[in-house]
Amino acid sequence: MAVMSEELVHLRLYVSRGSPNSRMAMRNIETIRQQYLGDRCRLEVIDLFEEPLRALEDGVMMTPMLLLVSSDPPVSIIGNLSDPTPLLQALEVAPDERTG
Amino acid sequence: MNGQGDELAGLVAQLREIEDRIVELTGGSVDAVVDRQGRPWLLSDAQQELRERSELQRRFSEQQTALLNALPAHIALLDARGKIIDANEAWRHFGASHGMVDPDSGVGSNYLELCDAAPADVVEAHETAAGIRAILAGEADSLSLEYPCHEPDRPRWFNLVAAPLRSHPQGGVVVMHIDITDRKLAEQDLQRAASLFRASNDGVLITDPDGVIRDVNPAYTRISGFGSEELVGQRASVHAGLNGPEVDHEIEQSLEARGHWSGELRDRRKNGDVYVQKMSVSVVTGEHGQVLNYIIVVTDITRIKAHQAELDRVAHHDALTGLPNRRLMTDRLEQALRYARRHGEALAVCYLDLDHFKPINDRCGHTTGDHVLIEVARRLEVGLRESDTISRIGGDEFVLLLPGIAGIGEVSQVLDRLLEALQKPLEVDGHTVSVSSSIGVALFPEDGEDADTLLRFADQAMYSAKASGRDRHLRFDSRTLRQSEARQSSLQSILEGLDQNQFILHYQPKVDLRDGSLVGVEALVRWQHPEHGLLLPAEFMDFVIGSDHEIRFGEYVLEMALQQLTHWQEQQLELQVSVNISGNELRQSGLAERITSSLARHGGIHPARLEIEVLETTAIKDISQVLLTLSLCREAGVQVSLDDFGTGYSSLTVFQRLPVDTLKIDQSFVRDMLQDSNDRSIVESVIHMARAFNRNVVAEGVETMEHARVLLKMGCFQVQGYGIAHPMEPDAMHGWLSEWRGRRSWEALTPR
Repeated sequence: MAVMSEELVHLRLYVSRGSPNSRMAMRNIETIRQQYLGDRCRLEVIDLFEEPLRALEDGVMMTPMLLLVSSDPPVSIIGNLSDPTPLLQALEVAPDERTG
Repeated sequence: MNGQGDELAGLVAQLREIEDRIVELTGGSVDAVVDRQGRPWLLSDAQQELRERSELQRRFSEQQTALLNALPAHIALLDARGKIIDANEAWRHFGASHGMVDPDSGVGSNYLELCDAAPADVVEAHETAAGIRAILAGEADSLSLEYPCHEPDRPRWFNLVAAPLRSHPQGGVVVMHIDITDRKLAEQDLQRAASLFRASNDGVLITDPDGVIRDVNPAYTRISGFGSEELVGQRASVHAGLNGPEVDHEIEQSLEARGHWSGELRDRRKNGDVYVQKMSVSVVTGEHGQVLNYIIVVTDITRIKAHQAELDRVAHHDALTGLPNRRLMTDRLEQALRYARRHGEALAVCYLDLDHFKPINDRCGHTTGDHVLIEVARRLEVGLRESDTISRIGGDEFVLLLPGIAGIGEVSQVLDRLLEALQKPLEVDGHTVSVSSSIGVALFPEDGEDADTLLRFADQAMYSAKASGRDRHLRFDSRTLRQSEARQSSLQSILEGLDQNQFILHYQPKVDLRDGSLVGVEALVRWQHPEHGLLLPAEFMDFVIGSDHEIRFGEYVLEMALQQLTHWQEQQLELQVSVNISGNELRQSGLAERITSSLARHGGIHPARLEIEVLETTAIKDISQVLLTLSLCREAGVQVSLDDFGTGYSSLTVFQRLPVDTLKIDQSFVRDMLQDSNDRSIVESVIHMARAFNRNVVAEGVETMEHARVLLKMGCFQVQGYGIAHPMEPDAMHGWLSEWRGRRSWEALTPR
């Protein structure tokens, strides 16, 4: 487990369920979560087409988009997360610190 | 419209450009965008992808349906409340063929309610409902139960399996009924085979094609004494040491040729005991004829074999002495003869008969007699060699086989020793008994070549030994054979004589000297022989006495005498007829009854008209039986006369007990008394004795009137002899009587 802040990380992923990038993002965030965050992470997955108003509220303009709710100010990352670097930087976790 | 069309086309192109630009900006990593009003817009790549995915899903669903329909199991999907929401074709078909009215076979109805509605005794239905509810409630992962659902013409079983329907968002259950009838039937077959295997009293071994034991049943472990763990993994083979290597070969050949072998084998139990087993080996072959297993079935027949051996022993041995019986002796003799012929050896066959054994039985009882026989058997065993055979072939008859003897000299020595040993007194049941024996010997090859002849000759020699005074051994003599053959042929012609009524009776009168009256006649048998003329008893009675036909002969004589008596009675000739009774007739029980019934057949004859004459010498043998018979005869009214009195040396006490009416003085004394004073004194004493014991007295052998005169003087009144009359044919009686009366010679005997 990476050395990182002991706070609970709250992530919210907006997807268009069934679409290829959304599915890839769901897979990628799940992998990153397991490798770096463990059970100190709360992840919400929200379908844009099911809850469009919530998307509007969070200022979501496209999917997939990941929202780091627990960071201040909130950070949002657009895309299928195939490159984990921006997220890890936002979480202040160095890639070489990962453990299997 | 055209202007609008151009504008629309422009907008679409614009839209396309915008979309391409978004894709470009995001590196193609987004699917949808949202406008400022929160309205989402799916990009066309994502739309295309979704279309393709739904098409795939549709096809997958079709394949699944086809797959479910292809399965023989009856499958239905239930929703979370137990309602049947779908079913495969097998389910529908089963429902239709089992009388479901609903063409969808229950689709739409509630499976749990259907189960609940089943009668209480259909336990499986209620178990099913409970199990499905448990799955729906998340309390169980699966349900599996087997239940019978027999059809009228065949048994059927199903396996019901239920599992949660995880893919369904609202939950649910998939229910399958799988037909397991074939498996069940196979299981039942297997169970039957297995219980047969376990419960069988026969031992069963199952081996693989190499003969390595794969399984044994409890019966086999019981029979062999080995535990199954000691047997499984071992090679099954018949014990070469006990059965010989050729048996293995034989079994192998038979299995190859016929697929089966059976036979009897000996084997050893774990404890070392040898047992006899009936074994059958069968081959189990596969579809292509390859050997799968060998099945070896083993029955322990040790006890049956022992029983057979015991039966065999009983059949070949005498129960009393344990010696071989006649059958076994005959076998051994044949065997010994074959051996002797091959090796040029001599062999002695000895027939041994105890002397006077019957009186031991009579006097001391049969138990004592049996003990004597056992002791005799023991002494014979002690006195003979191992290689000799001693057998008991009858009451007190033994046959000894002495193989490999040098000659009669050696046999004589052996038998001398044996006779001596046998003769020593033996203590049995408080009695001291001594028995001597008579032995007849026949030698192979000098006296006879075959078993029958040797036995017959030894038997004849034994009779000769008896005749020459008993307590001796005698070798067969061909002269004895000729005598015996003559005897046999004489007896044969006597029998023919009886059949052809060649025997007749002559009658010799007895008169009372005081008045010359005829008091009776003695019936004397004659043989009117077709070749030799009239024969007197001396010429044939010897053959009759002691033969099997003695009794018949006696009956014949009695019958003729009674016929004659009847005839004379009809002619008003009142007289008494005496008939001679032989010793054997007398000793045979039932004589009195026979005489009584003969008299009854000739109704009207007063019993006192019949007199039986018994020889003194025979009367005092077997005195108890004789006393009984004579008493019975006298009770029946028949007169009894003791013939040839004076020759038997009976003591006064015996004489006193004999139930006789008349004494007949033997003719030898009477005939010679005129010259021999000793004879004269005997005659006088008999007359005195008869008077003293109040018996009637008759003198035989009265050859002259001088004899008559002397007898009369002595007080003997009744006489018989040539001086009075010769024996005569019955028809001559009347003639003689008138001649006798006319003679009146008796009147001169007494001074008047």
